[in-house]
Amino acid sequence: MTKAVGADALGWTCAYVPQEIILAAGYLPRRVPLTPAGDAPSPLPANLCRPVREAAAQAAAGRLSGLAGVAVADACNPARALADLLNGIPGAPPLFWVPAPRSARGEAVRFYLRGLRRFAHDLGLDLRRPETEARLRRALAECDRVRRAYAELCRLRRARRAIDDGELQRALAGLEELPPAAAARELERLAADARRRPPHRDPNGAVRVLLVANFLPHPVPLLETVAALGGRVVHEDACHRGRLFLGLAGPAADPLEALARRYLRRPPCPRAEGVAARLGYLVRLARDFGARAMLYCLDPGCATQSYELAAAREALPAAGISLLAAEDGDRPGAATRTRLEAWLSLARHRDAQGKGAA
Amino acid sequence: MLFAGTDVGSVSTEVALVDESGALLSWSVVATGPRHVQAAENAMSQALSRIGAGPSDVGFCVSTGYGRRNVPFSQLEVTEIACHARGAAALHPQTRLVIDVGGQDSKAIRVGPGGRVMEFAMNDKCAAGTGRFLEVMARTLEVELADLGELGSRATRRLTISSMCTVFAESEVISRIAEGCTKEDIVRGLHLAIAERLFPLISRVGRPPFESVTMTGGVAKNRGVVAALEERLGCTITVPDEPQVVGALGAALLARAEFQARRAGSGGATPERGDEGGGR
Repeated sequence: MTKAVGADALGWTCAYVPQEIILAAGYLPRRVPLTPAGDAPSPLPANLCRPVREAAAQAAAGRLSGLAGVAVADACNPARALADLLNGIPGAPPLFWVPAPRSARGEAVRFYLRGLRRFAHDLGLDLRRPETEARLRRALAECDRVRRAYAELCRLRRARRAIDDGELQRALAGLEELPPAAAARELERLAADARRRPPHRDPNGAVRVLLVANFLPHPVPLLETVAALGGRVVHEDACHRGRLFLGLAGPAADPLEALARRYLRRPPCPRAEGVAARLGYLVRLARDFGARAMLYCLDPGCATQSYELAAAREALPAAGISLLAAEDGDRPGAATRTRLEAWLSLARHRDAQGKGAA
Repeated sequence: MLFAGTDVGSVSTEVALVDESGALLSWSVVATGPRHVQAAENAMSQALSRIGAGPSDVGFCVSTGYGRRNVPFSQLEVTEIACHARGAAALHPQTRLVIDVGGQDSKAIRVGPGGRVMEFAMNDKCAAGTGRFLEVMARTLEVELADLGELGSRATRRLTISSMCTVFAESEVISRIAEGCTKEDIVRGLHLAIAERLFPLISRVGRPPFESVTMTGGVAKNRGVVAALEERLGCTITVPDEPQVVGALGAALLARAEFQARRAGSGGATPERGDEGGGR
């Protein structure tokens, strides 16, 4: 997709905006808020989620003016507030509004598909032309290559191959800024390096931790804190990070329909398919990665997360997974650090007891 | 040889000194202020001078509390969760639940034999249900923080302060004053509100009937809060003579255990080394 390199970038805000359509239209997809995260005050209130407030701050500060547009998915009320704001700021990039149904079934897929056709049309794609379909298929293939590479890295992490956390996080951050081919090459390089290494042992007594969040702009300090306190983050489930890259569009007669199914049928987001499905997924994920502890970074402005967490407090301990929820989990302050330290200590003790029993 | 525990909290810093048998020989409490290092050094100096000892008599020191990383003479840092559990169990071996309410944190700790942490819950970023809540309210009511317990005991009617948030509760207290409610009744209402705020935290680590409960931290000196909690939990709460020193005592006992374990070459005995439970 050489045309994307050096072309104007188009922003996207949510996991329900298909980057393939942006690529096929000749734009480089850039996640909004842009990295590095802005420090300008947000014009949106503090009871809205962090990514939306930060995106609004960057828009108000004129930092999004270099984008050809911003695609916002109709996923939640904060997203609607952001869309209203973008429409009202003079000089803000044009807004592209993408529907985001709460189900992956029947009519919901057809509704989403209609929305994607409109999005593609608004970006100037004429889907009746064979060359447009060919561009879309190439974009699907490029993005699927990224996802395959990410899936392979996840497989290697499950198999306990040594992957440098910092390098992995930098590569994942790169997925939000680089053309897919370059991002895929970086992930493939990491995977190749990891395959060459033998399976590693966790540091003695380290607690394997699954990290759950909506937005992790700078996760490395958190991973280092967890490591310093006797834990090891073995996988992240964050809607603005790894969860974006799960599931392939795959081959299909209609590439747009393949996209619609892929984006709606990925592992469940808390807002879709109900909280039971989501918690079942988290439990399976923890077991797959051998994690018996889950650090839940709560964004108090994310109503979906708050709703999910209430159920998770019951369900996860019942499944043998120790849960710690922290509002400032991704940037732990002194009190959270104490909780983290004590929680890891308790989890380590339970791990030791579990091994003893086995 | 002495073993020291230094607990640097948001409001006060405590040092406890124990001997080789684990007996508490001396302790001190000083205001923390903005300089943790100085507070820790002052507290240590006071505790040592009370028994005519000097820094060279201390064989091992464990620091704990919010400022535990700023204690220059500490050899090991341990969370206050583990230290309060250990300290409470040392004073009252039957303890199975510790409620620690300090200046900016509140914690419920379920403990096993010997003070092992079995489970814990701790407030997140909210000041409700902490000493800070009472401090703000005392200022609003223009009374001394230390007088709240006594004032509340003279209440004649049951008043409800329904706001859980410190900021909203302050507005509610101002409204109550404007309505002509007595300070005594308002203070009791605040104590009941703290108990109400702590109850869900406590329920995360245990269920009724609650037994063998020990309360630690500076707020435990307020009899009104203890009585309100006893009423809410439906049990008697044991309060040590000096509840704010319990964390430092636990740290001192862990210092002693750590020193002995290292001397025996077993690689350490503190919770952070995995030989005991920790705490969430």
